[in-house]
Amino acid sequence: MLRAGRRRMQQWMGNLPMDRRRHLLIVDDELLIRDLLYDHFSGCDYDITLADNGQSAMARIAVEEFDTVILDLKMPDMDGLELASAIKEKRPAMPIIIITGYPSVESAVEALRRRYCDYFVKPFNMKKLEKAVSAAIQEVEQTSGRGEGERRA
Amino acid sequence: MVVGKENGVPEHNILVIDDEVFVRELLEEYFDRLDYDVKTVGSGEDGIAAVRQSRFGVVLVDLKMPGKDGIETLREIRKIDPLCLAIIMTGYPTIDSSIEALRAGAYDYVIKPFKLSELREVVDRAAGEYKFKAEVERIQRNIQTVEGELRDYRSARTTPVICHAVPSPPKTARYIQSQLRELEQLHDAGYLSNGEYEEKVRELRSKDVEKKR
Repeated sequence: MLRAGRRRMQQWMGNLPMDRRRHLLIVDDELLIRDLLYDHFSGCDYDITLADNGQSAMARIAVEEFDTVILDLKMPDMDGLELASAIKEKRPAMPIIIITGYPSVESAVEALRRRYCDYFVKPFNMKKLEKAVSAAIQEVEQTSGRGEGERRA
Repeated sequence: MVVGKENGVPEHNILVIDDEVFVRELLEEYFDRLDYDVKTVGSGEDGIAAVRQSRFGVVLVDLKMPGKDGIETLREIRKIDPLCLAIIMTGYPTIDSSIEALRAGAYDYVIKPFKLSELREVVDRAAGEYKFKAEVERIQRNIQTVEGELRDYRSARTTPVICHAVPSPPKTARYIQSQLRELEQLHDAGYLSNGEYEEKVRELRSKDVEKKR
């Protein structure tokens, strides 16, 4: 288990600089899914915060820095798309990845229009989700890092 | 503020890629009357060739075409011109194709049959966003030029050589102020959402602070 995790970590290192651990927020009302995602991503050297509803996710967003949010579309207290737009209002550059057990053309097109990073239908391939996460973080860091590099020079 | 005039206003250039002749004719006639420059082609391959040749602000692509399908075409077009905005049109909407369109970076996904007025709204919005994106890119290029000048100035000042003509310091703070004003205008004109506007302003301000140090 540990060895497999390390191998995965090395694959991931190829994409992102290892200067710090990236912080993920995972929002899903199903305990099983949260556990699964937690196990997988902590094995890839991410810091993870879990939330089981929209309100606690928003509370976390208000006080903590995250690199990516993975959220479920269907939650009891708040619609996933609603939560996503609330997050975007607070953090416009935050990559958002949607996972759902109830996909629809409407919600996928809505995600497309709002420029969310990705949309996964449960059951999904964990490796592909992991790739989407690192690609999203990479893109954000490249666009914000362009100015930074200039400044440092 | 006139944007992109030197390139023949690319945000008003529309490319329609559809294998059905009547769709091409309909869209060409409709958007032509709305003062857009419309070019139509019948296949993904021809569409890619057209994008290689000239700049288009908005590309309308049919999803289901013989040869290269809409998603593939969209991917290649965005590789050639990352600034252009592509709208997928389809009579057969599926979850898979809408997710693929999202991943390929489509601007919108419209389902046939649509009202022409609805499509027009989408295209107008896309053209506006293209104009804004082109403007932001222009501003960023200007900032980079000024930063380059500043670097040259600094290195010229610190290098202990006899230098008769020291370049004058670029007016960075004033320049950033003028860019801030331009951003505000874009924001007031509705091209920028509040969030995007704040983000850009923050970015510019941080540059300003760096300069003052």
